[in-house]
Amino acid sequence: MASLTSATRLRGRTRAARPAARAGATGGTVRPQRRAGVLLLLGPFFVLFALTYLAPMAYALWLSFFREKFEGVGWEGPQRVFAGFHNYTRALTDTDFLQGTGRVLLYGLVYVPVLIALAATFALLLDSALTAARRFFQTVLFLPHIVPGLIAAIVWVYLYTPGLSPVIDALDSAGVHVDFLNGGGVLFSLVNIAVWQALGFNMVLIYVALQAIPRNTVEAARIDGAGEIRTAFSVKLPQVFPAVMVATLFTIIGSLQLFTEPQIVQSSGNSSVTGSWTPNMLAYSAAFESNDYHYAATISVLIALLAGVLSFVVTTLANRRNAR
Amino acid sequence: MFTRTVAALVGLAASLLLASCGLSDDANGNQPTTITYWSWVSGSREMVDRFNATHDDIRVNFELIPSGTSGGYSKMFNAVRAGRAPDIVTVEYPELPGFVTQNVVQPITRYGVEELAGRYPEWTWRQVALGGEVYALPKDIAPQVLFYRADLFEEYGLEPPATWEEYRAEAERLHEEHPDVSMTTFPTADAGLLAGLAWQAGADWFDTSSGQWRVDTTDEATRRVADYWDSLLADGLVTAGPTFAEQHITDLEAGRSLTLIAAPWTAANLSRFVPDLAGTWGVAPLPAWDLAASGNYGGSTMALPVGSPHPEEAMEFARWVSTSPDAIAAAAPVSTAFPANADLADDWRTAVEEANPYTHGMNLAAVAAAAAPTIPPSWEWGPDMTDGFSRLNDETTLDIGLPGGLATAFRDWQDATVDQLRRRGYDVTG
Repeated sequence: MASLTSATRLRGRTRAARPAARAGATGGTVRPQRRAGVLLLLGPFFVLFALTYLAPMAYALWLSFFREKFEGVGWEGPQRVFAGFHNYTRALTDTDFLQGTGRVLLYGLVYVPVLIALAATFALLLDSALTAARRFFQTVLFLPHIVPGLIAAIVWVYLYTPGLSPVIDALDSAGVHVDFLNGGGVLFSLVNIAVWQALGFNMVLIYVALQAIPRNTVEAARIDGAGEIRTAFSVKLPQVFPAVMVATLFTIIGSLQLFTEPQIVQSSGNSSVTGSWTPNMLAYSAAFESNDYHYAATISVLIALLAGVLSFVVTTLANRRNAR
Repeated sequence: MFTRTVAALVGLAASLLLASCGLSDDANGNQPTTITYWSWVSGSREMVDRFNATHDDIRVNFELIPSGTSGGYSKMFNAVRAGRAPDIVTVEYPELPGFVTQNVVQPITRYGVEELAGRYPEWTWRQVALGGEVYALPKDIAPQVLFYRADLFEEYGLEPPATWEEYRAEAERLHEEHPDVSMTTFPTADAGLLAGLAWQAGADWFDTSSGQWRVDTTDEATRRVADYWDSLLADGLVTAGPTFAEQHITDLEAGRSLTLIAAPWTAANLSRFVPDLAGTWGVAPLPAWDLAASGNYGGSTMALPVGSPHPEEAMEFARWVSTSPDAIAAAAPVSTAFPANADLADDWRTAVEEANPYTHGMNLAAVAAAAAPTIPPSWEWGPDMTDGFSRLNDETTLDIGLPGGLATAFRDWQDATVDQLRRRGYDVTG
């Protein structure tokens, strides 16, 4: 919510600030001082950014080009050898990695549209005059976002576990038998947890953007005879498109990083979710079960690459639409 | 202002200097050496307290860490790599070979531990003596035994079965007469227990005698175990599920699950999970295949990490833990883990029975002591068992309950393990 409003505000400000900066530049005398000021203000950010983002990424990249070799049984300990692209070919031929990547992509394919559509619908409903108890619904829908992902997963696993879950008992007595934790259904069970959790946040993101729409455009549409639905699709949604794109982008990246929920589901011992079900889980088990940091780093680099490519595609598509 | 700051800084520096002088003065005197011990095994803290109370020259600082497979081993690995290793750590038997090949633990042969070899069962010593060096002192072991509901066995006219054949026959009869009662809840995600059952049957999942790794979980012995349980499950004679989870505990309490394939440490677990069942349990030897034998299902060692700051003192503490009746007595109120050291079996029986009323009438000590030496000594563990166990748990969770499920799980696990070890850089034959 905060990031979006500040982003739009920032955009307005830079537009206004540019001519002023040009004027300053022609003045000449302020320039060195200003540069020092910029350095002072941005310096700490770049130092921290380099230390906490760039350096670990470079280290992970470096790690991914080495591997361990053991002589015979290996009692003498490992030797670290340069591996070239061995770890990458290993990952790209590792069925665990490929299946995991396929799963998160499929998960994203279901999750992202469902979440964005629901978030936009609820935001529009809240924004429309139809909703009376606006604040109440806003709070209720936002509440799950406050629950930590771990706790949410535990609660949902409880609701998904046969023998414990009142939901399953109720369905059983109605003659419906579902297995939330095994087979194809588990993907949707996880999507359900994620939607429940993220809906409120994304709804607020879009709702805030809706609030910023100049009211006269909505009124104009109404005077022209557009109903609520027509107004929503033709006037409101196009104007909040950037907010919807931001929500989509975050959600896509988030779904690639799927970890907590399947990890909890897996540890329940009742589920077909394995310890390498998503690429992040595979990286985790490589690093913290096998102490194979080289392979874990390789998987992380590949996930980052995939997230980068997807983000690029989404932003390019969005920009193209914006330019139109 | 400025001068005042300088004066304050000088004063601070001076006092620090004095303090450090004072410290080194003390160290030159008879201050004990402080060593750090990382463990999560229940009873460790009590042992440390007892050790500190009875020793002046060494002071052990106990640090509780997450259990090995849920982060503890990773913590050790990273601490050793970072050069900040503790003095002594707990390592379980399955993880020891991996910690040797990854240079996390160091040989302790030079501390004269070989003289202790005769005190432990042969198989136990072979688990810590790897590639011609000794790498750890055994602390406790877990010979598999059968816990059974003595009260309900009597009520239903059952006898503790001596063989797996009898176990099945009784399960059949029970199923016929009391269809809602199950002979046991077979764990769907307990790789350690499955390994123990295969071990009892004479399997050797890993073998290094050829100078390379060999993995075999599809041999005749494992196959026999898999087929046996697959058929019990298929015929509905036992239920399957995660053990010590809600459903299992409810079934135990309601008397719907009559036996547990277990080890001495299970007694402490039961007293925590189902305290109301005190006095209802009996302990019998694990049903046998051909000859009386058992498998191992847990246990831990005291290992010396690479870079241990005080190895001499750490080994003295480890030796005390592994050989002193005092250590056994200290841990008895919270832990029923069976000592690896056979000399301590009697002390253990006295201490546990005195401290833990839940074990009264179980005959646990005698059964465990008889089972310990019957565990086959040739069993070895692979070099990446944390990952190995978690993969086997995944396989069995998927497959148990399906026709031929266990056999499938073992076969898939073997393929995955060979593949995984090769990719990891190990030399694997076959």
